[in-house]
Amino acid sequence: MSRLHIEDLSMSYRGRTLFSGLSLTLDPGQRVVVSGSNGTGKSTFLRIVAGLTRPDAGKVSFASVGAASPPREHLGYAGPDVNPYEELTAVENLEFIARLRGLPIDAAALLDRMGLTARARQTPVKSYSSGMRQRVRLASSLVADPALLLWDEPTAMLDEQGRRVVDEILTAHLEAGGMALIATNDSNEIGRWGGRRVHFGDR
Amino acid sequence: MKSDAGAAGASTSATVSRWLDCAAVVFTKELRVELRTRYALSAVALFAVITVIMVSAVLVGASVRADVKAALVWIILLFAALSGLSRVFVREEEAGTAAILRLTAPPSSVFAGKLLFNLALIGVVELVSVPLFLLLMPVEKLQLGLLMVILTAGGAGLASAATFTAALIAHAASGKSALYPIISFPVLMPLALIAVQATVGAFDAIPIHILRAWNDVGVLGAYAIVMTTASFLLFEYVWHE
Repeated sequence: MSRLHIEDLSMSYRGRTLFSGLSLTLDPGQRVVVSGSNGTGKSTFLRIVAGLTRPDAGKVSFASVGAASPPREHLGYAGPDVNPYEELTAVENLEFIARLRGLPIDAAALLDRMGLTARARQTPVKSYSSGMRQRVRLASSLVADPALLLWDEPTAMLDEQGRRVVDEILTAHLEAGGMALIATNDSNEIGRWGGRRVHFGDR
Repeated sequence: MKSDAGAAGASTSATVSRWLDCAAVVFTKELRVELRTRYALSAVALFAVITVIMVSAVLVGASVRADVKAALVWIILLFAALSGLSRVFVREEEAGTAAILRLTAPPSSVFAGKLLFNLALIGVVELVSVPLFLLLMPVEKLQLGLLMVILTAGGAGLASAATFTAALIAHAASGKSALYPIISFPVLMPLALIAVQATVGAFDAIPIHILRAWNDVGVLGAYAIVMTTASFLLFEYVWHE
């Protein structure tokens, strides 16, 4: 199992320093909650770990793999900046991701786990509520059964049942030796998830 | 030593196979989305068909020279392409789906899938608009075989240039619809000039023009190859933020 290393990560946006010299190590079974108010760089931090944004300085790597950045197959990213294809059904969205990764998938079972009904699964995503779209986003991040979950505001727009599902999936993931970086600005969630915390403050 | 070479060969073969699979999956997704929405097809095909009908209606009864007809064909195809081919990348960025591709597929296979889709789209537009053009504005000494080769080579260059330009402008925060023709113009201008010159040969059937047209087909083919190769080499820099 891999270990995530984040070393001396720095990032600024339009002359404003979001974070600098940020270092973090995540071992199997661990989670870190990234907290802070809007615009403090939580999402940017997760995007950098996902390889979607280049940092100004620093390095993200998996120890056992020895790669300069985490290989894509180790990551499961879900954030408000990644939407499912509206014209495709939830099943088609997950199958698309699985085929791109060259993996087999039981999309119906995964969506069932996320609490999407059989009828909804066969309807194009454009007819979904925002909560249902969020469930598809989260399901998409689980397609490759990744070692590292990067969830940006995972419970946003979810009802109580959806929040419970997120908690169950996260617990199962960590018990299986997975790792998670979760960004939120919801104080209830920060308290509920516990564990280590990195706080991004206003500068 | 032999087993090392064998393992390396198998690994290369698996990488190529995976790359081809990814390109095919992206192409299939584009096709499926397009068949459900018909955004690009509506924009491109309707533009081409309406323009052909308007041009022929305006010029009805007039004696139009072969070189003017050739220019009209390519102006219609170029503007039809500009009206719809950018969607392959712009739609991904605007809908917030591009990150799915960035996280899961090799960049060059994404480009290959998108290019294949735009090639198919240009092919459909040529299949619909050029016969309609020839029906409404007949060409007496048409060299059909030559015209088909010109349309194939020109269409390939057009699709390749338009797809790469679409990837370039997709990141722009605003003004994508204005940027696309501005950036495409210098890239597509040489293609348009050569394609028109070649099509003159296919329309007037003057032996020297036919000979020149076959030479131009070679230039069009070279343009498509160079543009496609450059696009594949540069795409990764354009694709990642």
